[in-house]
Amino acid sequence: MTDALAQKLNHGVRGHRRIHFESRVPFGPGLFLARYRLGNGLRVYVLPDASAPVVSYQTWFRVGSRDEEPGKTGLAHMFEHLMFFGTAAHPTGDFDRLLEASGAENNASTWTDWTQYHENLPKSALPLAIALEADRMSNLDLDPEEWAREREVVRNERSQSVDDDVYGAASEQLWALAFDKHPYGWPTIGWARDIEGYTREDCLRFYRRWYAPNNATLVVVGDVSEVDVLERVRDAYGALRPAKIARRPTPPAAALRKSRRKSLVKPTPTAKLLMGYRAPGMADPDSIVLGILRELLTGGLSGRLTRAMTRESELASMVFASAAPFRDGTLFEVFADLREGVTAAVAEARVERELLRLAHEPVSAAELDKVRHQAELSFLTSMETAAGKAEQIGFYDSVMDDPSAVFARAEAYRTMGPEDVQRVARRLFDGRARVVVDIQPTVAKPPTPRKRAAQRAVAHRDDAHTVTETGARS
Amino acid sequence: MSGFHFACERAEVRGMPIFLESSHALPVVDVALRLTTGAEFDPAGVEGLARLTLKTLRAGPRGMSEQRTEERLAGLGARLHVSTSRRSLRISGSVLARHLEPFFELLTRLVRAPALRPSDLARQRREAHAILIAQLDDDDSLAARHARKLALGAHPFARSLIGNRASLAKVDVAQGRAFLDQHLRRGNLTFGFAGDVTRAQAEDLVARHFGDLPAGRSKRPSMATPKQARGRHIRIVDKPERTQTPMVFSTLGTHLTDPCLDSLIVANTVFGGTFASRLNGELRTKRGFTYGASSQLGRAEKRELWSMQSAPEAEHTLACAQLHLELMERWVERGVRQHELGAAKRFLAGSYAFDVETPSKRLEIRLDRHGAGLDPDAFVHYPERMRAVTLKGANDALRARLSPEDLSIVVVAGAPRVRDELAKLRGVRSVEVWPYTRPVD
Repeated sequence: MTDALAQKLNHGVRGHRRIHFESRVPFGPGLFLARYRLGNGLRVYVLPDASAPVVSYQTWFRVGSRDEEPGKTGLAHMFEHLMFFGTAAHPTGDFDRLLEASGAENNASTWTDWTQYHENLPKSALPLAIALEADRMSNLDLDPEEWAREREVVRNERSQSVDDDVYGAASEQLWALAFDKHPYGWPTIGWARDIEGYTREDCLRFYRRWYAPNNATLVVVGDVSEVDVLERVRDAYGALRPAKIARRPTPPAAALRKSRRKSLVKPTPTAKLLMGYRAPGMADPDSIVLGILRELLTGGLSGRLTRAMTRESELASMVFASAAPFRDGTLFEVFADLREGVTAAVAEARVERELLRLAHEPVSAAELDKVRHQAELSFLTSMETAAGKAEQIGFYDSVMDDPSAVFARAEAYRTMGPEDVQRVARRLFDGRARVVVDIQPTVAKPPTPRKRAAQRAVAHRDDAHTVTETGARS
Repeated sequence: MSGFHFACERAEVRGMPIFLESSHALPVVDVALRLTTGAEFDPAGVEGLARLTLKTLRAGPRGMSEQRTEERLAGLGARLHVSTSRRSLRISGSVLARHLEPFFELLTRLVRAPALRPSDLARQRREAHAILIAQLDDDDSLAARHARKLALGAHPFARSLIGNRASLAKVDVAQGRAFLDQHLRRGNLTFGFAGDVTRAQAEDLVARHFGDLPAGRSKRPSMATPKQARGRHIRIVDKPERTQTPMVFSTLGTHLTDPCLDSLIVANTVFGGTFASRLNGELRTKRGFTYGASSQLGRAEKRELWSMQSAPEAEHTLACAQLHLELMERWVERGVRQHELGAAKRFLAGSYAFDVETPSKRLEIRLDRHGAGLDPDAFVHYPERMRAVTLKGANDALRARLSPEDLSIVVVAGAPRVRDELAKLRGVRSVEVWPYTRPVD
C-alpha cells in the first residue's frame, strides 16, 4: 500500500519533492509505522493511531553537543532556543502565538546526539505545524538584539540548572572528569565562559551546517491520514535544499586508567555523592543490560541499592542510578543524597559493595524476573500517548538509525540471563577506575554562642574554597 | 468534546463509587483507591500524622516485611504509590493486566491489615526528617513553601502535610491505627480503574475485598475562608551564593464554585499561562531577565492563592520585581484585550485534548473532581466553558478577585545583597529575613 501511495503522490513530481517509500513495520498492537524519504533526504515516519483526536509532530535533527567544538560548547542548545525566532513569513513570537492559539503545546530539547522539537496538536492544527516547522528549518532570521537577549536567557537557564543547583553542578563535574576532552565531557548547556563568548555568526554557521532536511527526521503520530501527511510534508519541505553534512569523526574517549575525584563545597545541608563508571554506548549490545542493572539497583523500593542505602544503613535519604542513552559511550552514574552527618567516603564504600556484588554473584532467576516485569511495565507505559510513541521513534532513529530497535531491546530484556547481567557488571565495576564527585555542605547546625567565634574562621575558609571551585569551573 | 470516544463508566458497590475507563490497547491496568479523609484531620500539633500513617501502612501488611512486600509488588510488574493531600489519602498503582488479581489482593491487605510496625514508623519519621532537610536544596520549592506560609499564615491551606520535627515526634502507632479505624469506612472510599480491565472485574474486586467494610462517613472539619494581609509584605529567604533570585508573588484568588472561575482561568492564561503570555513575553523574550516566568491560579473549596514567579539573574532582582508588579497592576486594572482573550480560549479549549488523552489521565481528573465535590463526568464540558468566557466577564473577574496592592512576596537570595533595594518597592509594608535553614513550619 505504501509504495503504491508514494508512486501516486509522485505523479508529475520531480527532484527533491519526490517521496520514496522505505519500509512499513508493525509498531505495537494493531499499529504500523511507515518510513519514507523525500528527495532532499528528509526522513519521514508516519504512525496513524486514532485512539485520540491528537497528533504529535516531532522534528529530530541529528546534531547535538557532541558536534560542537571546544570553546563553542553549548551551541547546539543555544540554537534550540534560537529556532523560536522569526522568519520573513513569521516574525518572532508568531511560532508560539499561532500554535498556542490553535490549542497546541510545543517545546524542544537538546542532548549529546540530537536536538528535538515537538508539537502536540489537536489534529486540526497539523497543517499549521507542518508549515511553521518547514519554514524555520531553512528561513530563520537572527535579529542581533533578539539574539543577544536570548543568550542572556540561556545564561539564566544555566544558572538555574547548574550554578544554583547542587546536583546539576556536581553532575557537570562528574562528566568532565570521566570524558575529559571527548565531547561527552562538556555539558550540553555549555560552559559559562563559552556561552559568554558566542557570536551571532557562530550561530548562523551552526544553522547552515546542521539544519537541513537531509539531517532531519520528521515523526508524525496520531489521528492522521498517511496520504494527507505525505502530501503536506512534500509540499512544505520539498523545496528545501539539502546541505553537505560534514560530520567530524569523534575520536573514542581515552580509557579511564585511574580513578578521578573532585570535591566541591556548596551551601547545602547534607553531603552528596556522585559516582560514575564508564559504560558502553547504545550501539554496543551490552548497553541493553545497563537498564537491567539500573532496575536491580534502584528500581523501586526493592532495588538493592535503595534498600541498602535508604533502608538498612540509612546512609542516604535518596539514591538513584542511571545511564544516559548516548551513542558513543556513557557513564553508569549513582547519585546519593546523604543523611545528616554521613560522610561521602562511608557512602561510597557501601555503594561499591553493592556494585561488586552484582559482578561477583549471579542474580537469582526470581530477581531477574522481577526486573523484567518492571521493564515491561515501563515500556508499555511509555507507549501510552502519541507523544510517547513519537519520542521512541525519533530517538531510536536518531541514535540507532532504527526506530524498531525499541522493540528489539524490549525483547532482549525477556531473553537475557543472569550470566549477561554478571558479565556486564564485571565489565563496568570489577576493578575498574571510576569518577567521584562529592559535595560538602558549608552549612552546619546553628552554633552555640561558645563555639561561634571558632566556627567563624572555618566558615570563612569554606567560602573561599567555594569561590575557587566556582572560578575554576567557569 | 469532538473526536473523543470516552469509555467513562461509573458503578457503585455497597455505596462505594467506582470510576472506570476501560481500554484494551495496552495490557496495563491503573488502580486507585482514595480515602476522602486527609491531613485536615491531623490534630493541632501533630501535623504529619495522616502522611506518616499512610507511609507506614505502605511498608507492608501483617505477616509480610517491607522487603517482602516490595519484592512481591515488583515481581508482579506493579508500581504502587501513596500520597497525602489535605483532603485525601490515595493509594494508586499500575500493574501488568495479567497480574491484576494478586496486585489488588496485596493492595487490600495493605489497607485492611497493615502491620503498622513501630520500627517502620520510626524509620518513616527519620525519612521525613531527611526530606525536610533535602527540601532546603531546591530553591524553587523553598520559595513556594515560604510563599504559602507568608500569604496564608495559620490557615489550614498553609498547614504542612509532612509535619515538622516536633509534630512528627508525637506520632505513634496507636494514633495511626486510630486514624485508620476512624476513617476506613465505605462512605469514605472511592475506587478507580483504567486500562485493560472490565466493569465486571472492577466491581467484583471491590465487592470481594472491601464490601464488608463498616458503613459510615467522616464529617469534615469546618474551615474559614483564608484572609489576605493588607499591603505588600516581603520575606527574604536568606541563602548565600545564589546567582539567581527565585521570586514568588501571591495573593488570594478564587475557589472551585466561584462564578468567576472560568473567566479567571482564561485571564490568567493571557497573563502567565503559556510561553506567549504577557509575563513570559516581557520578562524573558523582551528582556532576557529570566529563563521562565509564569502565573498560576490555585483552586480549592475556599479561596486559594493566585501566584506569579520567575528566577532572574541576581543583578536583575529589583528590575524584575518591579516589572512583575507593574505588569500585574496593568493586567488587573486595564484587563485583557479581545485578541488575547480569543487566543487563550482557543488554547485552553484545544489543548484540553492532551489532559484527557489517555484512560489514566481521564480517571485522574474524574477522581479529583469527585473528591472536590464536583460532577466527575462534567470535565467533558471544559472546552465549551472556556469558549463561553467573555471579555467583560474576564476583566470584571480580575478586578473583583485579585488585588495587586495586597501581595506576599518571597525571594530566595543573599539578604544583604537585596534587602535594601527590595524595601524600595512601592507599597511594601514589611521586609523580613528568614535564614534558609530555619524550618518553614
